[in-house]
Amino acid sequence: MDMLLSSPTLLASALASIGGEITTSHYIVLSALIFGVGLFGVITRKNAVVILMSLELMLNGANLAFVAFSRHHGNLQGQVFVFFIIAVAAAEAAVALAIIIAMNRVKGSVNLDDATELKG
Amino acid sequence: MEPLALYGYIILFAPLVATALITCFTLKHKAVSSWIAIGGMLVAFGANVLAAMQVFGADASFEPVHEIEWLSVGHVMIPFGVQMDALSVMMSLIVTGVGLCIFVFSTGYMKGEDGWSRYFACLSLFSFSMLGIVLSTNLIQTFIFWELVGVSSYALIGYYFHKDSAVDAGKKAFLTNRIGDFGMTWGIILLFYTLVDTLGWERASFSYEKLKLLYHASDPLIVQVMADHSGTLALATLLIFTGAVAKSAQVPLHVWLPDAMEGPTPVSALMHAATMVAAGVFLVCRLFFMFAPYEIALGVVAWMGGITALLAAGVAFVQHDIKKVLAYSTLSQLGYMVLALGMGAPAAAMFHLTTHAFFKALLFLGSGSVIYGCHHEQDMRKMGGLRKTMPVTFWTFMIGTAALAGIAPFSGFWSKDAILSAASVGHVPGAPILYGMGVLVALMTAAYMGRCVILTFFGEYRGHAKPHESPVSMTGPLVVLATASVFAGVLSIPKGISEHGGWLEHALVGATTAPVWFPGMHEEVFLPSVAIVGTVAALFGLFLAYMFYAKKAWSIDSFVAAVKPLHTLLEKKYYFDEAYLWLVANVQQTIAETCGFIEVHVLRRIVDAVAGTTRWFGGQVRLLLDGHLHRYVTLALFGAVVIIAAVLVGN
Amino acid sequence: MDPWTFWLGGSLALGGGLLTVTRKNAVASVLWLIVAFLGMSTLFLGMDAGFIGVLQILVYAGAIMILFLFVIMLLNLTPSGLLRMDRPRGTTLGLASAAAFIALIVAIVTGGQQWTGGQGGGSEAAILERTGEASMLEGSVLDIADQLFNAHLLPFEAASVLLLVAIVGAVALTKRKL
Repeated sequence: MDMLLSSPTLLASALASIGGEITTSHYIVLSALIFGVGLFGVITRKNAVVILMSLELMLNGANLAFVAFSRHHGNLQGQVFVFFIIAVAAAEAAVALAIIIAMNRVKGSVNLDDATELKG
Repeated sequence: MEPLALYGYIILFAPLVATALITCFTLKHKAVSSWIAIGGMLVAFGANVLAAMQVFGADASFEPVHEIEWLSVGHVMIPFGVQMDALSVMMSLIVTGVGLCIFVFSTGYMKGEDGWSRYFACLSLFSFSMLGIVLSTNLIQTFIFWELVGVSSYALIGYYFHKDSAVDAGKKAFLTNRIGDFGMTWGIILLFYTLVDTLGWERASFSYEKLKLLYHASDPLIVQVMADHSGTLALATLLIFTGAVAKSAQVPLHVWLPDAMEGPTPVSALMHAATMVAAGVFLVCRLFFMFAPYEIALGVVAWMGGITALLAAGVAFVQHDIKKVLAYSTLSQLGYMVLALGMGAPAAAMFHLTTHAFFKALLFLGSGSVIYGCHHEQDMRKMGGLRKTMPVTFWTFMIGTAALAGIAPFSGFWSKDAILSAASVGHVPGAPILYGMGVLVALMTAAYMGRCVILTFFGEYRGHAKPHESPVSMTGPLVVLATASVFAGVLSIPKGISEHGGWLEHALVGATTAPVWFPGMHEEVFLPSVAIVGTVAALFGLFLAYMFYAKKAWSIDSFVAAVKPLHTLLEKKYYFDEAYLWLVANVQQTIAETCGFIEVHVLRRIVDAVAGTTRWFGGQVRLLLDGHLHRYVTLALFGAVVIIAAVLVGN
Repeated sequence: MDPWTFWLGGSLALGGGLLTVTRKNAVASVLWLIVAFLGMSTLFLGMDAGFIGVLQILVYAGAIMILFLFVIMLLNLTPSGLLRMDRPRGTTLGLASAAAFIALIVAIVTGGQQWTGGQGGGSEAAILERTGEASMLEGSVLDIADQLFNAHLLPFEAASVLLLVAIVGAVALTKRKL
């Protein structure tokens, strides 16, 4: 747990190394940041289109980590995985946007707060 | 796979293939169905003959066991395979040979019946199950086929399912056998548990070959362990024996067999005379090495057989249904076989099983022919004088009767003599009494069979419909079986008579070195005194029947009046059915009602309470899920964070 | 791993992402997201993953984002309606969630020597030493193709089926009458 508490200090020390050598950890921290930004968007926004964009951002954060690890380990598995993620993301975007259009037609709105039928 | 094992699998699966073909494709085509069934049986019989030539041939170098790993759970491995030694090949030869005759006979007897294809499918399935027991290599496989035999016999006994009595008989047979199977299950579990507990997972096994090695082990550790736990092992053996008691219809689990005559007559011949009821005897033979070391086990077996033989022979006197007479006679003869087992003479038991399979199948088929010829009349009081109208049936039936009564030189004489000889020198407690009972049963057998033959074939015809001889498809098998009944005795003519004698005994023991299947088996001897006593008893029995029923020199009615209580007891079959009915209606019903009360008022309350609590929590939790996606996302994220943090802290 | 590609690409991706999730107007969000994707592409190129970098621009910035723009156009949302609808809510919750997640990852990454510089770590020299020749990943199409069509042929074909299903599904969902 103290590891968690000390993470701001560690982040500061990572930032302090600007201009220095770039290690795998830099990429991973960056991927976590991008993921976090996307997450923030998903949680706070109500516009379905924007939420979808935030999701794409989260996927990109994960992609970054994959490519970084791929390089770290010196094989292509990570890049292949990213390839598939991009393919799935394309499919996901197509279907999700279609759903948004259908939702707009039915409800006259793309506000996700208006779509709460899926409750227990 | 060497040829012998291949024969084994062909014997086993040919009838199953026939069943599958009939069920899947030819339910609508009567003739094709019966030909498929007969073809399957023919293939099995052919493979069996080839196997027998190898097993009983001069060159005795063959591997009797072929097993594959079938189920493997932890340390326990359950194999599946075929055991092709003298015992099982002998037995399967009876099943396929007699079975083939009965299949052919059925095409005549079942003419015009509904459900023809179903009948042949069930008959083939039954043959498959029975062969499964015979060729099995281990207790679990035996148990599986044991149950399969129960199921297929249920289907065949209840063949006329529109008749309530047939349905009830099927249920009775199944349930009674279940009681035996219950004991058998516990026996197998207890045996295996004891072996695992004392010898460890490595040595414990279900395979007969390996069990046999344990019982004959020279390793002092194993010998010590087996001696220390002899009580438990004897108990396990006797529990397994309860399965045999039910299947071979020994007192007190015999009640199903007479009722099972509700099935078509060829079914009675196949199952309740030649094969299925022999399964119990066969099992004891197979496991004889487990019985042999324990005198108490042998004693129980011997006494159970003796009592069954005596009780059943008594009831046979008061039956009027020709099939019921034969049914009780079967019970009695099975008692004989079990008695022989208990006397430590499994070879004699197998010998009698073989000859009995032939002549009892012959008698049942003969009775079937009589019933068919008399337009499905089964009451002997409405028969008589049939020897003129049904000559082939009459002569073959006479041969069967002579064999059953034990008249030399018919096969029954030799096998019965072997059993009586074994009984006369047996060691179990009360052996002389059992010997006396055996002789008495021999007398009674001859008497009631004499009564049966005289009532059916001699005197004047007392029925209404005009009797007629049966077609060739029925008389043909009768002739074949009659021939076998005459000559089956040569299988094991005692050594005292012929120097080539004792062949069966020799084959069963085999040329194999120690560990043997039948430790402590009595060397079969020919005792002239026993043979004379047995023959005199049989002849006296026939004489009694002649005096009472043919010459009517003595009045049967006044004799019955003189022994009225005994007669009533016999007519009520010793009140077994009534006793069981009382047991079920009072004891079992009370237990069931108590259980029902507990379930409704205790168990259901507990279950309802659990369900109610769950429902309440669910009702509370569902308030969290309000349909807002961002809340779901947040919850999922926190879940992920908590899991990752927990893993981190754990490391 | 040229430091300047990292800092340039990283700031573009992060800044673009931040602006994407905070713009009120969805069109502005899309444009900023394209900027973020360009930054991602820079990062990929900097890691010698050329194929993925190009794919990023072609598929994401090119195809998917154009799709987003079309949809926004189709929805025909007025700016005032957007403003009314998209008042951010739960900002604190969002920030806390994101921060907790980031803190966790940072703690893991910087907690050990595995990913950071030093012996056996994630520095340029260490990677080169550990992976040898394999580290000279050109990210060439040939290598990726070898992976895709040999080792991962089945997933590849499955992905093509998935895309087909997505096309059919999208058409079925948006069509007024089937």
